[in-house]
Amino acid sequence: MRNILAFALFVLSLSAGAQNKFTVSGYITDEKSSETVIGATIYDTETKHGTITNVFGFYSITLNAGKHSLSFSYVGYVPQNKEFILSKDTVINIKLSENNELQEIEVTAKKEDAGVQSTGTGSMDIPVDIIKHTPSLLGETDVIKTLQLTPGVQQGIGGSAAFYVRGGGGDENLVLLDGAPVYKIDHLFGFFSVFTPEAVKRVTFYKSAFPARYNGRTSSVVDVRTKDGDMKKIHGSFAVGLLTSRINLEGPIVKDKTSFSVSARTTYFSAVTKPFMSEDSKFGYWFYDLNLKVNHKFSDKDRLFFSLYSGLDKYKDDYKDDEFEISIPYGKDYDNRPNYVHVPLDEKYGTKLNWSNFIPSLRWNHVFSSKLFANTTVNYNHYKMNMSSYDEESYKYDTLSYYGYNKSEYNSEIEDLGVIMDFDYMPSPNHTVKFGVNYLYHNFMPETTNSVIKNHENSVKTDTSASMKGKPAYANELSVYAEDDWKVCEKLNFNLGVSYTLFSLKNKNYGNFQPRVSLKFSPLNYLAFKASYSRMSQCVHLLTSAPISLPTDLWVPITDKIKPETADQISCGVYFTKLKSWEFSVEGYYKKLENVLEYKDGMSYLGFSGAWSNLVASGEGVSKGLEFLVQKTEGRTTGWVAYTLSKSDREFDRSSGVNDGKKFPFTYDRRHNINIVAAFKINEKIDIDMSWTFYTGACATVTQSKLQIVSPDGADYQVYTGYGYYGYYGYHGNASYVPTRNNYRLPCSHTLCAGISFHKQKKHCERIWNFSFYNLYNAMNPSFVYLKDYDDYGHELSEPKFKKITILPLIPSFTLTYKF
Amino acid sequence: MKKCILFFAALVSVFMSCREDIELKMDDTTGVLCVNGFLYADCDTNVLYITETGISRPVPVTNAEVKMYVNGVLKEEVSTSDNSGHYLLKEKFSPNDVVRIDVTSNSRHVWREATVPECPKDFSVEITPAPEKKYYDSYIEDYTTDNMYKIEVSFSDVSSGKNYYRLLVDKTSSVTSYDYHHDYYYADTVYIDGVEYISHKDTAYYEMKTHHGYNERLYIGEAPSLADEEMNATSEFTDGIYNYYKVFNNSRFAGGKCNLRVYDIVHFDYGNSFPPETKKVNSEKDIERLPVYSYTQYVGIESIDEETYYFIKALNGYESGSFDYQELTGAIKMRRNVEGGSGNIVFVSRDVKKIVLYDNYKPAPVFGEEEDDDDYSDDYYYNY
Repeated sequence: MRNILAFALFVLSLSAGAQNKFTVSGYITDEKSSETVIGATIYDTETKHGTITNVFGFYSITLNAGKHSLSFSYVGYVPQNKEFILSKDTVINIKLSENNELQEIEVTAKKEDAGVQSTGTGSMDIPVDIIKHTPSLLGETDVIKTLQLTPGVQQGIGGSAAFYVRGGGGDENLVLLDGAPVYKIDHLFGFFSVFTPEAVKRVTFYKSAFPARYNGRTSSVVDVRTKDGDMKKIHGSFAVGLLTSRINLEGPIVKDKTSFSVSARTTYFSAVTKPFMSEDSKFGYWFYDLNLKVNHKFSDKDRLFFSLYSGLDKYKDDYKDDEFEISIPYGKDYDNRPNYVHVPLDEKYGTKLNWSNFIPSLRWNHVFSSKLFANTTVNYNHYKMNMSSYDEESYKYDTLSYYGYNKSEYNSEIEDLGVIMDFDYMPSPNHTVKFGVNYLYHNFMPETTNSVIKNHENSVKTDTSASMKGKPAYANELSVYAEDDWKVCEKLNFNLGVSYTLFSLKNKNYGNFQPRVSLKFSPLNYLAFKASYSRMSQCVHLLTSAPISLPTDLWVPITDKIKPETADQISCGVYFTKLKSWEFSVEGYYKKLENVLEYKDGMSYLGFSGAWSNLVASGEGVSKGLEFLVQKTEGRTTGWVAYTLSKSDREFDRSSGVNDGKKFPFTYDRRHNINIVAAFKINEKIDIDMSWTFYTGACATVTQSKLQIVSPDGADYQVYTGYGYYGYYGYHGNASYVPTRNNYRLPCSHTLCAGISFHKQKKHCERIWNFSFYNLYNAMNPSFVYLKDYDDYGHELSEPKFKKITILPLIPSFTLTYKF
Repeated sequence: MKKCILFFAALVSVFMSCREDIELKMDDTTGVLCVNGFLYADCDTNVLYITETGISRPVPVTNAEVKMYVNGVLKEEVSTSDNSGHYLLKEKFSPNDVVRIDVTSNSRHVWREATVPECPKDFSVEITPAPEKKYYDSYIEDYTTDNMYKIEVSFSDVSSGKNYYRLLVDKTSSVTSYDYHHDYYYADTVYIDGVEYISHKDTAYYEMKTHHGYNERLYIGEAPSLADEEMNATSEFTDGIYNYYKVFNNSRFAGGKCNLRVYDIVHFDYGNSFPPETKKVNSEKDIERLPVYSYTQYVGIESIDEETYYFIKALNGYESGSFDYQELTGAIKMRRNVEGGSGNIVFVSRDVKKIVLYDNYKPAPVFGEEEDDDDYSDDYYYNY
C-alpha cells in the first residue's frame, strides 16, 4: 500500500510540472460509420511526441504552447494532418476515411509495427480482418481459433476452443467481453466459441507484460471489444453455413447521436446430424448467441453504452419404448387366486441439458478534462447450467390405470456483479497514466438437485418431491491499480504498474500485491528490444476431469485451505520491422506458477465435487519457451509463420499425494509447435485462406500394466483381474498401474485448413460464397488414447491393446454470406 | 456428469473418423513388485498380499521374503505363502509403534515404515430397532424403514490434530430352516457389509452395500447440504461417490467426542426383515422344524493415517464407477505408500464390539393353519 501511495505522489508531481502546456484531446472515428478507432496514432511532427487512442477511441496529448502539426493515422485509413497554433486546451475530433485504393489491391492486417511500437512483450492486437480470414472448423471463423494459431498458445483437443497459454491451465485465461469476464466461452463441448466475428470490433491478447488494469487470471488476457454500431446508415450481413446461420445489423437510431449493433447466431446441428442418430432416439441440440449494443453520445464529453451478450445451449435426448408388457393382477381365477393379465407399458425417458450466459453491461465514458478520461462500467454476469432426466411409464387396462413420473434436476450457477472505474490521465506527452478500481461480487451456487415423483395408481395420487441445495459461496474481489506508460526518452519507454487485489471469502481474506514492469529500448525506429516482469494472481478455478469442455465443469472460488494461484513471468524479446510490410520477432519467457492445483492421485471431479478442496493439492509449475514470429502485414498475401519451442511441468510435495512427489510434464507440454497462416487475395472476386498447424504430441496418462489393489474388505474382492482368477468376477476390470502422471506422449498432430471465398457485387448487396475444408488431407490426429482390455462383446482380451481415437476427419463446409 | 460425458461420447461417435491400434513406445512396467495389506494393531494374524504387475493382470509372488521390524527391532521373517501370494504375519505390534515392512523378491526391494495410529478411545455402541420412516431409494421410489437397526456409536478423538477414521459395520446372520421338499435341515449364512451414515445432528443420509450388489441410499429427515464435507451426499443424478468404505475425518469433532448414528438393514437371506415373533404350526413335528435365527453385529472404529484416508476415498471412487470413463479422462493414477515399488501397506488401530442380536432364536409356535403372509422366505422353504 505504501508503494501505491508513493506512485500516486509521483504521478501528481508530474502533472504539477505541466502548467505551461496545453492539451489537445478528442475522439478519432471512422468517417463512414462513426465507429471509434482504437489504437490510432497521433503524432506531433514538430516535437516528435505522440500517443494513441484508448479502447474508446479517445486521445489526449499535452504540448507546449505554439505552432504544431499533428498527424492522425491508422493502418488502412488515409492519414490526416492538422496544423494549428496551440494557445489553450483544444478538442479536435478526427474522422478518418478508409483507404479504398489500398483495399482494392491489397489486404492489410492493420497492425504494422505493432510489435515495435507497444511497450510490453507478448501482446497482440488481432484485427477482425485476420479473424475472418482464418479458416477453421465448419467454416466458423472464430476469435479463439485465431488465437490458437499465435505463438505460445496451445490448443486442447484438435478443433476445440480450449486454449492453453505458455504452459498455463485452461482456466487461467481471463476472457473479457466489453470488460465483463466470461466464464463459459464455448458451445458444443468447445467446438465453437461464443464470439461471433460480426459483433467483434477488436481483440487484444496479452500473454505477458500484463497491464496493471488486468487481474484475476495468471496466464493470459483476451480483451474482446464489440462494435458500437454505425452512426450514419443501416447495414449488415446475413450468413448461412453448414451448421449455423448468422445475422448482423447495425445503424443509427438517432443519426450521429445513437446507434445500435446487433448480431445473432443459431445452429441446426440436430437436423444435420439426425441421419447419424439411432431411430428410437429424439436427439436435439441447439444454441444461439445474441450480441446487442446500443450507444448514445450525449456530447463530446459523455457517452453511454449498453451491451448485452446472451447465449444458450440446449440439448435433449428423448426415447420412447412401447415394446414392454407388464403383468398386473386383474380379478380372480377359478381357484380364487389373483388372475394376471399382460398389459403394454408405455415408457418414455430422456435427458435435457441447458447452459447459458447472460452478460449485460452499462458503460459511461466521461471526459472530465482534456487530460482525464473516465470509464465507469457496471456489469452483471450469470452463468447457469441445468441438467435433468426423467422417466415416465403408464398403462391402462379396463378400470386399472397407472402413471409414474420421476424427474431429477441438477443446477449450477455463478452470478457476478461488477463495478469498474478506469481513468486515463495524460499529464504530459511522456506519460500516460491509467488507474482505477475494480470490484466484483461473486456468488457461486455450485450444485442444487431437485427430484419430483408422481405416482397415480387407479386415480390415487401419491406425489412427492425432494430438494438438496449446495451451499452458495459468496466472495468479494476488489482490485486497485495504477500504471504509467512512461516515455523516458525517444528510445526508451517504461510501463510501470502495480495492482493490489483483495479476495474475501467468508472470514478469510487474501491480499495480492502484483507489480508489473515493462521496458522497451528502440535504438532504431525499426528495431526494439523489450523486457518485462509481471506477477498475476488467480482466486477462482475450474473443476474439470475431462480434456473436453463440459457444461458441468464447475467454477469454484479458493477456500481457506486453498491459497490463490500466482504466476511470476519474465519475458524478453527482439522486434524488427526493417523490411516493408514484414515484422519479425523473437520472444523468450520463463514463468513460475505457485499454488497451481491438481487432483490428488485417485481423485477426480467426476462425482467428487462436494468437498473439492480436499481432493486437490497445491504445487508448483515452471514454463519456459521461445517464440518466433514472421508476419507479413500488407500486400496481396498476408499472414504469419510462428514457431514455439516450449516446456512446461508441474511438481508437488510427496505429502500432497500427487504423483508421489515426482515432477511430471503438464498435459499440454508440447515441445514444438508450428503455425502457418496465409490469406491470398487473388483478385477482387476471389481470395484464399489457409492455415497449417503442427504440434508435437501432448501428454496423456495411460495404463501400462495391471496391479493388485487391496481394500479394507481384503484382496479377493478387490483383485480386478477378470473372471475366474481368484474366484470372483472382477467387474471393475481396470486396476491400472500408472507409474507416473502424463507418462505417454501422444503422436504428433498436424492439420491443414483451407477456404476459398468468391465475392460478387450485386445490385443491393455483396454476395460471398465460402467453401472451407477442415483437416484437408484427413490427418488421423490422436484425440484420445486408451487401453482396450475388453472386446466389443465384453470378453477380456488376452493381450490388451492401445487404441487411438481420432475425432475430426476431413470436414468440408460452406457459408453463403450477403452483405448489405 | 456421466450423462454429460455420454452425450459427448455420442458426439464423438458422429465426428469420429477412426479408432485404430497404436504401438506404445514406453518402458516395460511389468514385474513391478506390489505389496498390499491392511495390518491391524494387536491382531494375531495379519495378511500381506504380494504380487507383481502384469500385462493383463497382476501375478502372485510366492518367493518373497518379508521382514517386519517394530521400533527398529526385527520381529518376524516370513518367506512362505500360498499360491495367491498371501503372507501371514503372526507377530503383533501396538498403537504408536514404528513398524517397518521390508519385502524382497528377485533382487527387488520395497519397504514401508510408519507409525501405527493411536487407537480410538471411549468407544461404545448401542443398537436399537430403527423407527419407521419413509425414504427414497436410488430410483427415487419410496420405501419404509421397517427392517432396520439404529446403531449409535460414540468415541473420543485421539488428539486435536488431524485424524482419520473408518467405521466398521459388519455382521453375520444365519437361518437354519427345514426343507420340506427334500426333507432336510440346512443353514444359510450371509456376511454382509454394513450400512454407513455419518451423522450430524439429526440429519440422516446413508448408503449401504452388500455382497449381493444391493446398493441403496437413504434419506431420513432433512437432507444434508451438498457442500458438507464428508457427507458425500451427492445425489444419484450427479453420480456421486458412495462412501463404501466409510471413511471420515475429525473436522467436525477435533479433539472432542464423536457421535455417529448408523442405520443398518436387517438382512437374513431371502427375508430382509426381523425374524417373526410367532410362527403358526400344525403339528408337534412342525415345532421341531421351526427355523432358527442367529444374528451377530460387529461395529468398530478404525484409526488410519491421512494417506490411507485418501487411498480409501479413491477406492470409493472405483466402487462408484467414477473411473469408468478413462477413455476420455485418461487413466487414473492410484496412490501408493510403499517405497521402491507399488502398493499400499496400511497400519490400523481399531476397537471392535461384537453384539449378538439373535442367538439361535426360534419364533414362538402358534397352532393354526398357515396363512399367506409376508414371510415369503419361510413359505418358500416350507412349501417347495
